[in-house]
Amino acid sequence: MRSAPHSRPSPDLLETLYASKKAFHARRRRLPLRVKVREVIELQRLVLPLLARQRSLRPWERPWQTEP
Amino acid sequence: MTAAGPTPTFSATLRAINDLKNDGVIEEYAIAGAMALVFWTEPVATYDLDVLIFLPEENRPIVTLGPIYEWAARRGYASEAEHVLIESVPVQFLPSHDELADEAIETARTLDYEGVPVRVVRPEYLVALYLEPSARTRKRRERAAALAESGTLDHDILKELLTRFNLKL
Repeated sequence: MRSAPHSRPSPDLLETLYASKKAFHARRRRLPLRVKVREVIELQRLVLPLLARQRSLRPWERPWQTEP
Repeated sequence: MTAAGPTPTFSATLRAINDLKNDGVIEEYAIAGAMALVFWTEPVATYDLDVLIFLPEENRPIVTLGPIYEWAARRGYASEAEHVLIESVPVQFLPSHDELADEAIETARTLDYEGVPVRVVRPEYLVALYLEPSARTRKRRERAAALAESGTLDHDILKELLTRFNLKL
C-alpha cells in the first residue's frame, strides 16, 4: 500500500536549516579550549558505556579523571 | 593522582609532556589525533592523547620507547599497554614514522592551553596524516573531511601536501 505523499520543506526552509547548522558548528569551533576539553570528557562519560555494550573496552578507554 | 590528592588537570598533562622534552627524553613533540582536532575545530569523542615525537639520535637500529616508560615510572605515572597515564590521561607516544610525520612535528604551532604552551600539529597536516594509507579508516576519513570543511585550514598548503605525498581526500 502506498502512503499519501508527504509534505516537503521548501528550498528556502532547507537553506535556512543548513545555514543554521553551519552557524551552530562555527560557534562550537570558537568555544574556549577549556570548554572543548570539558566536552571531550563529558563525551567519554556518555559514549563509553554505550561502547561497552558492543565490545570489551581497552584498558585506557575510560573517562579521564581530570579537570579540563 | 592519589586518593587524597587534588584532581589532576589537563594542563598538568601538557606540562608533563613539555617536561619530557625539557628533560631530553624526547627531542620534539606535537599533539596529533583527535585531541589536536579539539584545538582547531569542534570537540570529538576520544579516549587518549596521541603525541608524535622525535626520539634523540642513538646508535641503535631499533627505536625503543623504554626511556619514556622509565621517565614515567620515575614520575609515578603508570603504563598500560602502549599508553602512559599522565595525570590520569592515557597518552600514546608515536615516534615519527615517515617524512610527512616529520614535517607535521617540525611545523607544529605552539598554542596556549591555560597558560601552558603546547605544540599542536597544524590542521593541514592532520588531514594529510588521516589520509595516509596506513591510517585510513572510515572514522579518520570523516574527520579529515570535517576538518577540510571547517574553514580552519589553508587549502593551498593542504593541496600542496596532498600532491607531494600522493594522498587523496
